[in-house]
Amino acid sequence: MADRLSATDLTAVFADFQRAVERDRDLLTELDTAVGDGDHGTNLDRGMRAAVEALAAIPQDTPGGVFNLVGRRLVSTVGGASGALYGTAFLRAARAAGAAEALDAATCTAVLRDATTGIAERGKCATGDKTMYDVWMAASTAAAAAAGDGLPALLAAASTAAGAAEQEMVPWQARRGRASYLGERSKDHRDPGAVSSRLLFGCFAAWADA
Amino acid sequence: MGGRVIGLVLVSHSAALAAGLAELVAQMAPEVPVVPAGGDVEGGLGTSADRVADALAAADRGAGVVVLYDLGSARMAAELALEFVEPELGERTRLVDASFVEGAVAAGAAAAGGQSLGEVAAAARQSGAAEPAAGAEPGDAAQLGAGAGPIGAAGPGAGSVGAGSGGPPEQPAAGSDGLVPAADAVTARVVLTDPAGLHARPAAAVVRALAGLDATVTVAAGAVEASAASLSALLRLGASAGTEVRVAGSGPDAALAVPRVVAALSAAGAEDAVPVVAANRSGGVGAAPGRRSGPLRRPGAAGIEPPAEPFAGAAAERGRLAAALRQAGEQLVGGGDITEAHRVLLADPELTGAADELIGTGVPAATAWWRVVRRTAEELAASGDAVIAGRAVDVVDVGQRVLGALLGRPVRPEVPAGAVLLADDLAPSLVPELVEAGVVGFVLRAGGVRGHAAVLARAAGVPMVVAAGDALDAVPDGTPVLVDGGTGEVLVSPDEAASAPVAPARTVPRTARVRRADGGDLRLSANVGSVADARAAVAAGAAGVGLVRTELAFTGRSALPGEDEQVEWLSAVLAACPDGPVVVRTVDLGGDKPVPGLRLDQVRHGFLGERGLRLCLARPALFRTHLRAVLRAAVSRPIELMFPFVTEPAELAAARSALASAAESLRADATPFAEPAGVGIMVEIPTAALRPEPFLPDVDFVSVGSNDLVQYLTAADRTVPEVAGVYRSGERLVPGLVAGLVAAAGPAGVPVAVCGDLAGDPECAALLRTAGVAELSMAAPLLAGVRAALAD
Repeated sequence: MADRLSATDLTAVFADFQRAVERDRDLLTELDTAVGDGDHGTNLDRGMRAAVEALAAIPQDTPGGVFNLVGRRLVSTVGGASGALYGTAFLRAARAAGAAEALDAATCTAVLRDATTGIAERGKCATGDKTMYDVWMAASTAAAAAAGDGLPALLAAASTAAGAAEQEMVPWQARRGRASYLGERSKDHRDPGAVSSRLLFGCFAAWADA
Repeated sequence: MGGRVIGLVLVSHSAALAAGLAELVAQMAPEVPVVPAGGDVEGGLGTSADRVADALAAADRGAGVVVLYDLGSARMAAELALEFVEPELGERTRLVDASFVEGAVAAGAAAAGGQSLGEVAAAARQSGAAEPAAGAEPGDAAQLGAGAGPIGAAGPGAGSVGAGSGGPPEQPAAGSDGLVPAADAVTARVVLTDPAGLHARPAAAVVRALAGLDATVTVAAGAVEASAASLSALLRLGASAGTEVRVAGSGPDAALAVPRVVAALSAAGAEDAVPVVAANRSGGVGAAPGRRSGPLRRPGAAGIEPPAEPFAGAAAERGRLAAALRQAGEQLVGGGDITEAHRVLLADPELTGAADELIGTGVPAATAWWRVVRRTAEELAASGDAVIAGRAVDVVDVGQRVLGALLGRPVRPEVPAGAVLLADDLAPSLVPELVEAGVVGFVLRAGGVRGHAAVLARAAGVPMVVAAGDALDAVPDGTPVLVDGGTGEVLVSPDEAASAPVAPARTVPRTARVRRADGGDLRLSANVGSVADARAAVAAGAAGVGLVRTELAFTGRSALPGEDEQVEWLSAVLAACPDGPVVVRTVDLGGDKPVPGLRLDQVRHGFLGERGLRLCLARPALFRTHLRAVLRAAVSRPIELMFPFVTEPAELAAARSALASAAESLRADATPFAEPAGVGIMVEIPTAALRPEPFLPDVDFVSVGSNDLVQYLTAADRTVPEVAGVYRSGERLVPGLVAGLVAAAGPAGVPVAVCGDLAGDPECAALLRTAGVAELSMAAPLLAGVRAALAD
């Protein structure tokens, strides 16, 4: 029963996320071409490859170390908003995880909360702006609500909420970033950052489910 | 800090540029650690957070590091570096928005001089603020989008009183050696309430708030600071809703400037407190009654319209547009919304494509461009979402800039006669001018009912609606609208018959006293907080001074002033005051007034905390110094003394005994002083207003401070735009309360004065005259309006 997430587990989740991004790279790029500058898939793919390579080269013994290394690599290898936002999220997660050997439900809630706050601060965005933050906020809120039911339930709830949020956002008009200048044209588009965030939470849920 | 030197980190997209600049600074300041962080990881053009993080560690000697950067994304790299450096190092790192070269040189010199982190950062900042984005002076309408144009000089934001511009500084400006006075001489914190954060409009209001003031003010979000005089720097902060920003000012007018900037930052939220009532009807808050209609005009949008010009051929026109886009692009760096809008306009094939297409059909570049921009902006503005409507302003702003570049000329706002003016806020001095020019109504996105612009509009009999927010941003220029300044409604495309004529404005003789119904005299006096205010009071023909605010002696400097300094300051103010009675209020600290040297907490010393007289009684040494200074300054001319914020008779007794003991100590020192001709209290707490009797035996006069009184009656913070409507509802109670005070105080022989904003409100002034007050004291610019209202 996986009620704690170790450094090894987290490394596996990120490897899974890297594969998911690689698989959906073209979709993410296509979504970003419609509302942004069309590099989300390529950028995130490059960044996650570098992160997974680094985790293989320098194995970490705490989840905080894993988050920190992934965040650092994303910041180093990805230009543009996605590197800064994901990088900040994981660096804040590393800080929240601290030196813990493994993450339990309570720590995971704090990690998710601080990462979500980091995205808001770095992206200067709020809920309803139709950005990845909406997905993180939904996941974070659902996780906090499910924290009493153990880690697997927490991660499943976060993933479900992330998926629902990403769907719910589609008809919205964007209020932040380049998409916000497209006016009506940003409606009925999936936000690329929201989609990749949904993938990430899906990977965590899949680990808990395994 | 212990004498350790401050380090510098120079972040540039170019490794060579950063290294060359580091070399230059090192030559002038060899003992200062200057570390370049240029280029991306491979050393190519770009930035790298890792490089910045390494540079921070290398430059730090334990006292802190100042970071300068060349472009907005370099700042992003520095911010990311702060995510993973040691937290302690992050806390003593300052990202400074300044000219890269001049800032680095100035910071190097300051660091070499052993200055503190704050001083080195300030030296960098003041080395020449980053260029305003539009290639125009801040305040030039070219900077501002449709209707976001500041009209004229700085308009005091709602709630600020006294246009203390001009006049020599009342105190020697620190830093005459060219270095910066102690940073953070006056500071404040404000949480951004505008959902769009610090976007173009509030940023423009901040820049405008500083016009005419001799002060250096910075706005900081997180570790990043920007000059409040630079629109582009403010936008580069990219501060979002809910961010707490820090405002710091230094210089002679800092005490005026910082609250104005805070008001400008706070006013932004007012725009979103206003719902659109119906498709053709928008709501605001009525500030000057009357119903008038006319075409809606935005001075900014009227600024540049593409002229009718011959078509020079598709290739030539496309070349012109491309060059103008490039030129406007070169003036924009950073990560603010305007920049984002510009990048989008530049890169969105649908927009440039549409302009190209129009050019292809024989439309000149300027016309083609403007059509596309307007269409985009209208689409955004029509979304019904305040944040997205804010994007429209950005787009128009950029569009205007490009248009200016295309036509090679600046923007001049003009308002045709008969128009209803839509603006963010308005400089009070402009209201009469605009009325004379034929403006028939005003709609302000921000602004306040208590703002001087509103008062003057009432005096002129021209309707004004304030706090209208973005509701009208979607309405095209020239659309007929009906302004109802009584209900606060603005009807779009109204039936002309609904409009009503208005009485022409009258000219009024300048009298300083008017008759009351009971035959008594009503003195029209001025409130004064500085030498400049005192001169304005003389110029406006005030009968006296009903309130000398002594706070400026405290807040306009970097440390608590000593007795001699206070004497010098107050003597200078008193010398400049008009003839007639002068009431000096003992220092009223706390509430919304920050004081360097006193660690005042926003809650413990806030509006409901230990402020005013409470604070003075709690700090006997401070109070004694202050009272001695007032008594010594009174040698130069007779004064009356007033204690602020009195709740209970026991406080008055304690204050009187402090006054007696201050006088006793001066006598013991054989220092010349003069007793006040009278002692009174300021009635601004409901307890004192509702039960004045216990105070009456111990006072020679009472003066009603309506601003605070209304705030405490309504439990509505007067600095919060969202509750402006609630606050205003409480103002209606004041004339009745004052009448009660007069009824109680009259038999005791105690005259009642009013020295809050309501005294300067023409309508309210008439009611207060009826209530039987002996004095109305107001900001000097308001005297004219009140005289007009009271003229028989």
